[in-house]
Amino acid sequence: MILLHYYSCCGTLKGFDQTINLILDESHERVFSSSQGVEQVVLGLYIVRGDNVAVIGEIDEETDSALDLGNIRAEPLNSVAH
Amino acid sequence: MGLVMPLSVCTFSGFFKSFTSPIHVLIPCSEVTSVICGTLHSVDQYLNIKLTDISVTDPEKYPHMLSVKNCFIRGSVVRYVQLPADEVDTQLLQDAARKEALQQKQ
Repeated sequence: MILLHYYSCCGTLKGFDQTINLILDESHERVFSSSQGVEQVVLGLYIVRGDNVAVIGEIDEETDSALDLGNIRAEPLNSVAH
Repeated sequence: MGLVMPLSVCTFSGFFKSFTSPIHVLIPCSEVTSVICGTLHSVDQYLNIKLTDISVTDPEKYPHMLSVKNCFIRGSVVRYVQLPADEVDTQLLQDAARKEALQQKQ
């Protein structure tokens, strides 16, 4: 099972096509802000249009569970521009 | 520093295929640009890029990729690809690009 993450969402990639439209299951958004790192469930099953995808990264579960999300501060990501 | 080239110069993905080993830097296009370093795994016709062994050059500013080792980057969001200068033969590349431009005109 591969966990993938684009810009701000994490989930399991169920399918994709040539234009990088994605089917993302168990997706939860990691909202970053300068004051706190929060994780919330956005939607169980997402269909994402490829235009809005910038990066798909494979999350290494070991490293990810070692992350202390409560302590991570960062600026929010901008939306995708082409 | 490596050689920085706008991707419009690379009109053929065959050029990138010759780079399957060296490390290079990739800067996705956004207002707040972030730089991803990695080893080029593969490229496709849309210049989508697969990188292995990622590191983000400014991990404090961009913790989003902390737990990601391999990633796929959509070609349309990439602004620059920085390659090690000694891996690029610019003369050869220029000649090949000109040839292709000529072929396309015909």
